[in-house]
Amino acid sequence: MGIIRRAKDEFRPICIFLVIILFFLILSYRLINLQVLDAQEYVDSATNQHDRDYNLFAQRGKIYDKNGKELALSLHQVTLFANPYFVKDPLNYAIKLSEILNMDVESLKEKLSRPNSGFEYITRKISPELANRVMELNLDGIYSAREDKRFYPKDSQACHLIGFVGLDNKGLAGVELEYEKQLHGVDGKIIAKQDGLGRIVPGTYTLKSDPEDGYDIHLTIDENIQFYTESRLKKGVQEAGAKRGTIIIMQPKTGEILAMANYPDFDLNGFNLSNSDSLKNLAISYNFEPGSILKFVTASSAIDSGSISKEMVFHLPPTIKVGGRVISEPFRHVAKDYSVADILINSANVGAVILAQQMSNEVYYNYLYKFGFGQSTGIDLPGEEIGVFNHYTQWSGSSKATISFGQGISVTPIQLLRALCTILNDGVAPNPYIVKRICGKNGDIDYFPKLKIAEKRVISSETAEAIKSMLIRVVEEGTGKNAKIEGYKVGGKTGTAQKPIEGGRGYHSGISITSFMGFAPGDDPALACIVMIDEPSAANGHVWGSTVAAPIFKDVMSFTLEYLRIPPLTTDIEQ
Amino acid sequence: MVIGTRAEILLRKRSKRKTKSYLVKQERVKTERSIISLTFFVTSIVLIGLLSFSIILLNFQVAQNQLIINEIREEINYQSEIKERLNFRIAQLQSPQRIYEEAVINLGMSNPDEINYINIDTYQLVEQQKSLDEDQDTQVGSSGYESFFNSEFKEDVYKTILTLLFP
Repeated sequence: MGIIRRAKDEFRPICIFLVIILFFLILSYRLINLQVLDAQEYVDSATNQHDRDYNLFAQRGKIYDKNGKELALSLHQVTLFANPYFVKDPLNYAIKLSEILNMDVESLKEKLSRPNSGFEYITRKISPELANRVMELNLDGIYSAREDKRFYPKDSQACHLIGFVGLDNKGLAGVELEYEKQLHGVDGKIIAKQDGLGRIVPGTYTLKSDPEDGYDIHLTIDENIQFYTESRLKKGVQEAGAKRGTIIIMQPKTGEILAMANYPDFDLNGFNLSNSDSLKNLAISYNFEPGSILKFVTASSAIDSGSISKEMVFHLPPTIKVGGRVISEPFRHVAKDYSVADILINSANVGAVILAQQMSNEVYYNYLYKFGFGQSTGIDLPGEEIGVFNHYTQWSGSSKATISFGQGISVTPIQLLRALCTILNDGVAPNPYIVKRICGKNGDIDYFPKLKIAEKRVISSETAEAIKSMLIRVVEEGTGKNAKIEGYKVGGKTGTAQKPIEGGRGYHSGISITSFMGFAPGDDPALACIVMIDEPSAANGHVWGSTVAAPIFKDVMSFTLEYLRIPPLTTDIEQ
Repeated sequence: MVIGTRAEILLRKRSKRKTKSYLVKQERVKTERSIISLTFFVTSIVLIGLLSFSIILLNFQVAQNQLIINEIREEINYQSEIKERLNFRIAQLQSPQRIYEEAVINLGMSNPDEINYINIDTYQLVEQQKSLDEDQDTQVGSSGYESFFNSEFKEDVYKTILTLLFP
C-alpha cells in the first residue's frame, strides 16, 4: 500500500507539471497563431477599429513690417459640422443652432435633413466662445474641429501688398500668395487609439510626423510710412476727384520698398465683400502711358549712346511733323533754343522727339529695354505686368517720336520708379523687393533677394550724374516746383498723359493720368518716390502732374525724410 | 529459528534497524523537499502576482501621468491661444489708423499742417490800439450818434412805432 501511495505521490507533481506544460504549449501555439501566423490580419483589423489619425495643424507664419509690427497672424477658430444621420430632430436642432449662430433656420434645417450625406458644414471658422455655446447644447451628430483663421490687425493697411488667404488657408494674393510655400508650413500627424465611444485612450499617441510651422516673413515696408502714404494718397485722390492712384517709395540703392499704397483699397478681413477692381495692386499691375515722365529716359539714352553731348543746345520749333503726325508743345508757340536740361525743365515734347531722333530705332529700343520697360522688374509680388512695349521692328514711322515723350508705350509705376532708381544708383538698375527676411525657429532662410540676379549696368555713372543734376533743376526751375521741400534739394519729373480710347484709336480729350516721380535729398538720394493719379477731374481746373501729383509727392517725401531722420545734405543747406 | 553465527545474527539485526531508520530518513527528506517545492511554487506565484500587480500599477500610473500631461498640454494650448489673441488685440490697438482716429476724433488733436499759426507783433498791436483810442476820443460826438442809430435799439424803436401806428 505504502509503495503504491508513494508512487502516486511521485506521479502527481509530474502530472501537474505535464498539464501545465501542455497548457503552456496550447497557449504558445495559440499565441504564435495570433502573434505570428495571422498577426498582420489582426493588426490591420485592430488598426482600422481602434486607430485614428489626427492632423496636427502647422501654424501659418506671421507677416511683420520691417520694425516687427504684426500685419498678419493666424488665430485658432472652430468649425462646426454635422453628421445628419445622427441628427434626430432637424427642425429643433436648426432652431437651437440658429439662435446662437444667427443663421437662417430653413437653410440649417435643410443641411441637417440629408441623412445620406454623412458630412455637412454648419459654419466655418467661428470664435471658440461661440462654438462652445453650441457644443454645450450636447446635440447628437453635431461636432467641432479646430481650424486656423487669418486675421489682419491693421484692416486695410498695405492690403495689396500683404494679400489674403482663402478658407483653406492658402494664399490668394500678395505676399500671402507669393510666399505660400514658406508661410504655410507642413501639417504633422499623430495616430492615437480610441475606445468604444471614440475617446482617445491616454498614452497611446504615436507621432508620425511633427508639424512644421510656417516661416515668419518680415517685409521691407514701414508701418508708419505706409499709413501716412495711404492716407495722403486717399486724400489726394478724393480731392482731385480721381478714379484711382498709387504711390511707391523705394530706396534707390538697395531696391527696398518702404511703402506701396494703392487707392481704392479694401479691408483685408472682409476682402470678399470688396469690389474686384479695388483688389488690384496698381503699383505693379497698372499699365499706363507715362507721358512726359519718360523724357528723362530718352535724354539718358541719347547722352549715354554718345548721340549727343549733355551740353548740346537744340533749336526747337513749336511743332514738329514725324511720320505724318504733328507733335506740338502745349504752351510754347515760338521757336526756342533749349539745352538737354532745358528740354527736361520745360518738359518739351518737340525737344524729346529731337533727342530720340539722334539715335537709331535699335539703339533707342535697346536702351528702353535695358531700363526695364517691356519686362518684369522681378519684384517678389504676384501679378506683375510687363507693360506694352513693341519691338523696334514693329514700330511705325511716328513710334520713336511718340515714345520719346511717353506715348505709344505702356509701363507700370514700378518699372518707372526702377528706371529713376537706375539713374540714382549710378546707372545700375536695382532689383526692387518687398521681403526683407524669412525666419523660422532655426533662424533665417535664404530666399530670392539674397540669391538675386546681379544688378545690371544700364548707363554710365557720368550720364547718370548728369541726368540727376538736370532732374534737380526740373524741381528748382521747371515744372516740378510744387514738389520742393524746404531745406532739401529735390529732383524729379512731372508727367501728364492723355488716356488712349479703349478699343479705338486716338486719345480722350480731358481725361488724363498725372504723375510725379522724384527723389531726395539732393546729390546723394536716400529715397525715390512715384505718385500716379488716374483720371483726376478737371473741376478744379489744374489737371497736371505738377498740380495734382507733385504736392502729394512733396507731403509724402517730407514726412518720410523727417520720420527716417534723413538730414539734408550740406549741399542742400548751402542752397 | 535463527540460522548462522551470533555475529551474523547481530549484523542482520543491525542492518534491519539501519534500513528502518534509512526509510524514515528518506521519508523526512521527501517531505522536506515537497515543502521546499511548495514554498518555491507559492513564492513564485506570489512574486509573479506582485510583478503583474506592479506592472498594472505602473501602467495605471503612466496613464494617469499621461492624462496630467494631456491636461497640461491643453492648458498650454489654451494659454497660447489667449496669448495670440492678446497679441492680435495689441496689434489692433497699435494700428496707426486707430491711433490717428482716436487722436483726431476723441482727443480733438489735429495734423500740424492743418493748423495755421499767426505771428503777432504785440508792440505794434498796442500802438495801433492806442492810435484807435485817440481817434475815437476826437470823434466822440459823431461816433456816439452813429452808434446809437446803428444799434439794435434802433430796430426796437422802429418796431414800437410801427406797432403803435398799426396795432
